[in-house]
Amino acid sequence: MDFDLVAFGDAFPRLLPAALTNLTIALVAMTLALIGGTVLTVLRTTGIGLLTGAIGVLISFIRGTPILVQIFLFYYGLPALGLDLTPIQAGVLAIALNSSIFITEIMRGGLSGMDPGPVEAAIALGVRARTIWTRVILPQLYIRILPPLVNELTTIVKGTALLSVITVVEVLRTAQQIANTTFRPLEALLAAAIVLFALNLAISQLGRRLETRFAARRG
Amino acid sequence: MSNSDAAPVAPIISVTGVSKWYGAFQVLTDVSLSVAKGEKVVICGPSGSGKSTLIRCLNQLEQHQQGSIVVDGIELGKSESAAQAVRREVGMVFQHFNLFPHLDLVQNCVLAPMSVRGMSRRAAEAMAVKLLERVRLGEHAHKYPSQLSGGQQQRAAIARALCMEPRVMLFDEPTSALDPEMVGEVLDTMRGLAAEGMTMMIVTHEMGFARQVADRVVFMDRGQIVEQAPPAAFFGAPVHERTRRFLSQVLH
Ligand SMILES: Nc1ncnc2c1ncn2[C@@H]1O[C@H](COP(=O)(O)OP(=O)(O)OP(=O)(O)O)[C@@H](O)[C@H]1O
Ligand SMILES: [Mg+2]
Repeated sequence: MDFDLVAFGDAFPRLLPAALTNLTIALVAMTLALIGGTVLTVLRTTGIGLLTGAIGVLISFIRGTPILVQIFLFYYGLPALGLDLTPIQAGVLAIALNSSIFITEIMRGGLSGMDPGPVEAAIALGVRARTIWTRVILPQLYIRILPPLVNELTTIVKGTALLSVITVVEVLRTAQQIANTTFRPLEALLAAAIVLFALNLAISQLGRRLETRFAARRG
Repeated sequence: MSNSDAAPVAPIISVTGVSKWYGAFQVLTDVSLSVAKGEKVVICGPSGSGKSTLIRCLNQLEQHQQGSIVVDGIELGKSESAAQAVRREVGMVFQHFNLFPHLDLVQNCVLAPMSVRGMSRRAAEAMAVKLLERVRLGEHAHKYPSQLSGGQQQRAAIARALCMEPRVMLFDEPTSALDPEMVGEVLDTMRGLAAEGMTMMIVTHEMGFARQVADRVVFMDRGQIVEQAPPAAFFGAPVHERTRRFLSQVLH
């Protein structure tokens, strides 16, 4: 058999630290995407035609183009506009923008199925619109959409491997470097896949725990 | 206090010639009603007669298009700040409780006092615990709404409204969504509130409760007030045919 178990095993000590890069990028991008998605969601409810129109165009552009192209646009395009970004910065921003579009769509779906009763109660109590968003609507919404949000985070983790193409040294690029020296691409790439899979497995498990923990608060 | 011996002070709620439309459909027609401080007014009437719409106009969850509504000296409909000022003074209890599902009962109770009245967390929580105990939910203070029965949720909703120390309480069919065995506990809580002198406007089909607690019963039909009288007269000798027909339906 042409599978070198030793080469396979040797890949992990280098891939595991690299996975920390993927995880960090994913968490930062997810945080930015949550903020971006939330802002877009709130803006879309204002009913200002021009604004919702512009957001609509952005949404269909991001959804209708490959994320790899978006990453290249951030990495090669923004410096052309005078904004110099490191590969990691460009990658994080590209993934965050892409993901905020998917998150605002998730949030909109969640909003449409939400009971308007608590909001009405808050209005009747004299709570201001801004506080109703931050204390009543958004917390309920995040709890409701926890499962698709966790799913989005695993999508982001997978997306971080794409940053190998703009020279970010993460799991996939590390595996390629290993393969270049060992001439064992199958072993290195399989190990990389397993590392990323394990990461996403952990995230899904954590997500399920969170879901159980928040079950009583879903209403 | 009955309607007839009400002192000639300005009423706390005064509705004069109010009309409201949903598109072409007129939901309220020339409604006039005034409520004295401490008075308990029960509103009844068939489904779709405009009862909810009327009390929702009192805290501007709905806007009226004609006539005037003055609550606690504040004229409504002129500005958003008037609506906000009235909402600070007027508590509302809904048919479906409308608790905040993501917050435990104490946090349900402190949200508005802290954000609207600027109370400190400590003071707001102390008041919340006190009022939750008063509606006999002391040991459930840190549970979430989904962990409670309907009757418990509705009592919590009453406590939440009371935490704003309102001068008026509005109830929109507070027991209609409850299983029959839980109606009593909510009505008892409301009786307690009435005994303490709270001004209350209550939309309900609980005619036994109306008989006991109301100073006045108002009957609405098709967006109009058809008849209003103290309970003895209202139930004993209803004047209008429509009232009689309605009463014969709900009392049997
Ligand atoms: N947002 C709305 N748009 C259009 N029509 C409405 C709206 N809300 C209420 N209506 C109509 O206005 C009328 C009065 O409604 P309202 O809810 O005030 O009645 P109600 O007396 O409270 O009835 P119920 O006993 O069923 O609660 C009904 O015919 C209802 O269909
Ligand atoms: Mg109603």
